[in-house]
Amino acid sequence: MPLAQPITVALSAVALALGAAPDPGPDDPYADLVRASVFAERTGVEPGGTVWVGVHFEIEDGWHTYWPGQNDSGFGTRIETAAPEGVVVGAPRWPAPKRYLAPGDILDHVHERAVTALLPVTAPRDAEVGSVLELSFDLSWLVCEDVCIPGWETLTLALPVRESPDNATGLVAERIGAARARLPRAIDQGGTRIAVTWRGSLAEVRAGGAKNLSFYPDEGGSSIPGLATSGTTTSGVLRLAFDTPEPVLSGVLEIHGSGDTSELFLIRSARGGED
Amino acid sequence: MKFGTMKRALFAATAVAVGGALIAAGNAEPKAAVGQAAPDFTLTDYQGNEHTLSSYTDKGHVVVLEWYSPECPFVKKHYRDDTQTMNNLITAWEGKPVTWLRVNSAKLDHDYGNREINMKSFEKFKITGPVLIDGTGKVGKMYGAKRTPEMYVIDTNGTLVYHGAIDNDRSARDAGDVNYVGKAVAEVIAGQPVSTPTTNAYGCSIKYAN
Repeated sequence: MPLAQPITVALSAVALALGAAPDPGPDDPYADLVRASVFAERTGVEPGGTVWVGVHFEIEDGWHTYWPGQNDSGFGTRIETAAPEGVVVGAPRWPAPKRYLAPGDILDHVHERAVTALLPVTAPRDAEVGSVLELSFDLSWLVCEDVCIPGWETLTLALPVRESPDNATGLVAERIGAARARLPRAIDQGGTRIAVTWRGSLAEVRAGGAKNLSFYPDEGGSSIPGLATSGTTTSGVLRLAFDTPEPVLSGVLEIHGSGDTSELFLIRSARGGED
Repeated sequence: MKFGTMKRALFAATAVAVGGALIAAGNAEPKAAVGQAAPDFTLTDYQGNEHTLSSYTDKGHVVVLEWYSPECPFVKKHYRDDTQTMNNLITAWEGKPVTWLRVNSAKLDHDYGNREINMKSFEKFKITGPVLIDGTGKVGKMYGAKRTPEMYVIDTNGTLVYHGAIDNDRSARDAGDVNYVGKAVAEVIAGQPVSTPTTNAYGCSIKYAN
């Protein structure tokens, strides 16, 4: 069976009855706001090889899901994987989010329309050609517009072990390419123009002469109070103030270019020097 | 290769909000901060009764504030029959000097601030205590509340001693196994310092008025 087409999961499946919440009926306006699918970048994996798997979320227009980083509200999308013994599944790489600022200084980092998280899957060296690796992905998310609806789903992916798998084409390649375009690069690929300077518990971030900068803290660092105001700038210097004694700045720096163009870098810096 | 689904669930129920007004820079309103005096306020509940924070602390009560929304999934998960996180705590403290006040800071023309939707939710969630109406969002912003449920504990001196989440499960599905509010109130009643004075609250954004 060709790999090239992702399958959008049918919406109904088994609804978990939870408390007083009614099951979504056929006329439920909130059904199917997020359509999840999973696919691999190649038509299989070699013994000992690694293939990128995309977990794709198609999000209803006008609605958003939450980036798993610092948010004032909502719930960062979660992907938990289960794989046969010997198969190693890496942490999801999420495309950079957008800032979503609501009245009351409520700042969230969100994904709109569609997002694909990429996970590296490595087959065991002794995997048999011709066998199939059954992977399972437990997804949970919150999707919001004016209101929010939680959702969860388990997807499975059967990954054939092959001598020389082909690259996926079509929609799969397109979606994986779009995700890669919004993945941050390591800071050393940004040359010397990105600089983090600590002044006490204040981190100043500069990117050469670039004026328009935004910072999206991920889960690996300290939370940054006041980010609704300080998290984006047109002055060329992001001033991010922490209220913890040993702050760690960790997240994605976006250097906005003209139009929709931008560059994205992963930054991790502890007070007293980058680690 | 094949693709499949094992399960999927979506709540038909509505929830959450995103909305409101930006806090004006240089706002002279007092701001709540852990370790400091909790800003006093008077609000009216859905039955028309006025509640003043200091009237409870003055008579020696520990006060719990719960920011409330009738439709938020993170609130709802604590009012299911199998959880009843909030009501179970309230029941456990019956006869003790503890007052639990819920506050709804959603704008009044939003579903979450809508009177009828709120009244229905009280019945459904078995809420018998007061829910205070803060339609202008003034008290919510004074406390820096951004989500529902967002929790505050105020000791009998009127000092804010806890601000954060109700518990340690940030999902919309399950209640946690550590209840920070239960722990903080027990410590205050025992005359001990609150061991975890702040946590990161989780929940739906409050639909503030512009």
